[in-house]
Amino acid sequence: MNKEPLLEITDLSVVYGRVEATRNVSLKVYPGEFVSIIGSNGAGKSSTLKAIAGVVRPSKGSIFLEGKSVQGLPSHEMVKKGIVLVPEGRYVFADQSVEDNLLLGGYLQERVEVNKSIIEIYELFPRLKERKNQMAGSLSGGEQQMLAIARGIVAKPKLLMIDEVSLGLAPIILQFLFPVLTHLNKLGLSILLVEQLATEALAITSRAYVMEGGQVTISGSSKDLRLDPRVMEAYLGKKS
Amino acid sequence: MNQKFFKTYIFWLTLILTLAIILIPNVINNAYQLRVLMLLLIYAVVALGLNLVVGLAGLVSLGQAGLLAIGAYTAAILATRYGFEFIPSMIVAMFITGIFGVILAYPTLRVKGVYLAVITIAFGIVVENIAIEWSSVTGGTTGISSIPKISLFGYPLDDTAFYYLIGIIFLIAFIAHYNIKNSRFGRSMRAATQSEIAVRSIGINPITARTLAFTLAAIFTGIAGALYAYLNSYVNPDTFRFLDSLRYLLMVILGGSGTVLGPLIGASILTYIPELFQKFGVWQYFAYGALLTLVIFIMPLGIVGTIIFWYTRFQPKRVCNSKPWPKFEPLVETLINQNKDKNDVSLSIKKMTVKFGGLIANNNISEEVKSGSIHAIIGPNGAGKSTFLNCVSGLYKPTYGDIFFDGKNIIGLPMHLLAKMGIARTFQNTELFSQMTVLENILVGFHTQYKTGLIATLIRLPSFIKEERKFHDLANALLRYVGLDEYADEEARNLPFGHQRRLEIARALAISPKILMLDEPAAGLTHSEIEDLKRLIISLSDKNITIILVEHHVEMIMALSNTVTVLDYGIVIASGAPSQVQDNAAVIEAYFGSPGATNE
Amino acid sequence: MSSVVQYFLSGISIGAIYALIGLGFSIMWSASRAVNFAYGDVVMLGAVLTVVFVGNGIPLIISMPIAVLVCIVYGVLIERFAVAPFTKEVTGIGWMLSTIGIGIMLESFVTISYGSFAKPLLTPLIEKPIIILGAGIYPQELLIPIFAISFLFCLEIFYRKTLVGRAIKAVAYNQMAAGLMGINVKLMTAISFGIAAGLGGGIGILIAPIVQASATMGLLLGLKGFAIAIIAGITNARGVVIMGLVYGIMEKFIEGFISSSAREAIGFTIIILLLFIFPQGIFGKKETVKV
Repeated sequence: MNKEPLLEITDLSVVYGRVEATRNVSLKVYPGEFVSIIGSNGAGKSSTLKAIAGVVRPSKGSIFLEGKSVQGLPSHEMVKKGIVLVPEGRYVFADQSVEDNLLLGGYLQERVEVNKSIIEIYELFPRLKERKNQMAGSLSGGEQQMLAIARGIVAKPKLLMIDEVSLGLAPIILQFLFPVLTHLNKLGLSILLVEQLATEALAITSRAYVMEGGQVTISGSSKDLRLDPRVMEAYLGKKS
Repeated sequence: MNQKFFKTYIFWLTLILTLAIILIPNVINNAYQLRVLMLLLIYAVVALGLNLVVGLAGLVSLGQAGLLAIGAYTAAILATRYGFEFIPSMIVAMFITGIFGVILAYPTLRVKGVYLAVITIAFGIVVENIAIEWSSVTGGTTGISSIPKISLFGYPLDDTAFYYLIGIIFLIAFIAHYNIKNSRFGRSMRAATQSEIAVRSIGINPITARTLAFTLAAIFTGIAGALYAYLNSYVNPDTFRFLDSLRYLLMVILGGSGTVLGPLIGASILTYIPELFQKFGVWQYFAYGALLTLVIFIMPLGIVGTIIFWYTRFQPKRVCNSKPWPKFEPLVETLINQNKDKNDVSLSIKKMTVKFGGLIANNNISEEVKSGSIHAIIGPNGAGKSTFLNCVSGLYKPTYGDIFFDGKNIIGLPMHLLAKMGIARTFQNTELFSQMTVLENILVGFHTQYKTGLIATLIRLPSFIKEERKFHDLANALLRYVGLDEYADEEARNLPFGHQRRLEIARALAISPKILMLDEPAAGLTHSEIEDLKRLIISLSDKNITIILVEHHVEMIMALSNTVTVLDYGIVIASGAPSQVQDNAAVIEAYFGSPGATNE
Repeated sequence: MSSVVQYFLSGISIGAIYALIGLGFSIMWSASRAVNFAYGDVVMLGAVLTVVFVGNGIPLIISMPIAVLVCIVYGVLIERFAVAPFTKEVTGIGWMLSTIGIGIMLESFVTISYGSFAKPLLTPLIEKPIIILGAGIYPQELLIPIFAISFLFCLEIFYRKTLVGRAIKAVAYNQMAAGLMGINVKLMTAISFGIAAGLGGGIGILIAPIVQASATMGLLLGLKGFAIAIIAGITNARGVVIMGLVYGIMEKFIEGFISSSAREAIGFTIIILLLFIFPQGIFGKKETVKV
């Protein structure tokens, strides 16, 4: 593992109107790592990713990519810098085909590179290849999630951030998706995953942060956290 | 600015205006200038009406000239063809224009913003064209001329007398406008603009509020139209075009949309400007466009609005403190106390299914909520909790199923009717009337409980004054109950977040609910605020109010609830006492994932 | 029989004008949920500029692209300075009135410098009418629907096959998601308005030979075009074009069988009624509200 983190955020605060969604969040992702942020709803996990991706502007705190400060940049600039977010709710372009969605993922890339990436994507997700000319809106939830992740990969990110993979998806699809993520990580892609399903997330990642009420309350290696009772309490409360 | 101050402000203002109107003819001895002044007052009446639509109800109307035409032509036809005297022709004009106001309000049922603007423009064009084409009735492009001199009860009025008549009518319109603005009608119009959903959740149908605004505006315009016809002694289509509608809108915006004095100031400026702009000669029209653009960019609040803005800015800031809550208040106890329900079950949901296209958000849900209990709904993100809440509160209509409340099947009933029946709710995104004061937010909650109607409000009958006072006292008591009394005159949007939540709950209590549904009330609250919230919920439950709670703060849920229902993928996977649910394997898996499902 | 054909042909011609203007509104609205309300004045600008250039001796074939170019620049400036600052507001009064105000200024400036009379633009296509089934129509008039269909076709290809087109479609679908692809949303919006403005200028050039170029030619056309786009369901380009053609044909038949004066009154009343029944537009899609 490199000494220098790929992504480092310190004291990040995100405010929506009067609501403080996150408070003093600090975390790091090293190159090649697969890190997760877990916690129940409203904990501030999505807001953290959105702030990093430039979708919302943090009110306080710093974001460093490979040692250089990148905060305050709008999302399209962040993509240029190599931070790609697969948003919660997926947001595939429903009125365009699967292949067009992938081409849009490669908006900033060279056409030749994009074509190569798409061929690789089709090997990874044969379902998408079958449906490449179908309108993205007609795909099932799981296929849309595949498409959204595939779209993110085509952008050749330095860091891929995924917000809630499992949302609304049946377990059988998750059994396909999670191994794909592990595979991509083994090939060298750094991934920051926000996930509600703690067990799944802790099984495939090496490190994790637990967020509650807008703050990071626990962090450590996934192996250790799997056995930590505080994690379950964060979701289901203390036993009376 | 509190009530007392306004009372004196408006009194002195009206007095000054009355004096000005009486004295001005003695200052200007010019018949022409007097006519311009009369025209100004007529336009001011139009602007006052339009101010209700734009400033209070927040809608864009670019068809006011069409309504003015209807008023003017009606009066003209009645005067020339049927020999009507002024008062009867004015009354008929008022009535007919008012009907068109109701017709114009109908589209606001479903369209807003630009779409409505286009409809009003289209309306104006239709009226203009009918005026040009239906020559047998309207006289075509030449219009109707030789309208007899205005007379009252057989006595013709000379210019000065006519001027005073117009002055009186203006003052009446001015006072009526103020009386509407500062009443529950004005408040509900403003509230409907700021949050249509919140207004429905407290029993107000936003369409009624909007229809009222349009109709009143039309009535004002109808009166102005009749006066206009008599002033000019002729009417023709030339003065009722789109650009005239634009001018009336500009009067409202330039003066200060939503303010009391704005319409008069806007009307004054824009009546005298054509005089002034004559100097510009051929550049008049250009200057007019430039004025419009300038106002929108630099002074969107208008003259009066900008003055008020800077005035409040420079007021010394006082520090408001919130007090602990809930606090015992006898008036509030009477308001929110519910009788113990003779039924054991308050709400009964049977086989409710909600489909959005191909997605099944709620699948065959059956559940019972016991009266007076605290019933929590939890589940992972996307489980269907919001959908569930939205169906029970009347925001969505389920695809199949039944919901029984108070012995009635309430499925498919709209939110505002359910609110009147006693189902209240709060929202995840705190839907407050952000630009209204804290006190006003609560007062809107009482709208449906008022007994005095529009007429009593307009002429300020003693019954109206008594009721206003009663509800003001009740509103203040409710604010003391939630510890926000020091914030009464603050704009809701300036409140710290936790206090906004309190305000929303207080407003929901204003409708004296049997069931109170809270949508993630603890989200974004600090620890101590959550403790306060817990105390409130318990005290409400003690008053026999049934509480339904959608929450993620599990600690709070487990400590408070009598029953917990867990949803996942749209179905109920567990329902029972909190400790049972905590240990339930299916629940753990839903939140956590299954221990076995991993990659290797 | 020949009069029915006449109405139909002139109807298609005028309908194509409405269709194209409606299309311009559709392009603007799709990108930013706001438009240049005075878009009719862009049409006027294209027509007037071309007439002025030709009047100064510049050959038609050069005047046209320059006029279109000026319109494009105008359209982009309007978007950046008069529309974008107001798109965050809910009511829309901001951009409505700012663009109307600027439109009035443009119109009056043109009236002052160009004169209030209409001037013709002569092209070979209005020299002699051609006769079809007993009805006469100028080639210039037929050119408009042909242009409309071709433009729609090219627009669809642009949206489907080019990267910028797809990016604009993405922006129209969801601005946040588009930004996450690395698309510069502000740039795409400006480009959309530029395209719409270029189209507007082109429309002006097309119709100048027939209706003649005057400072006030744009007002009613713009209004009708916008209303038609809204009833069709403004985000559906094909729907807008169909609606425009249908409306034009309907107008001509009303004119023919009732009177030319009843045209506006009946036409706009139908628009109002249609909007009552289809508040989302006939071909439009419902936008859901999230609480």
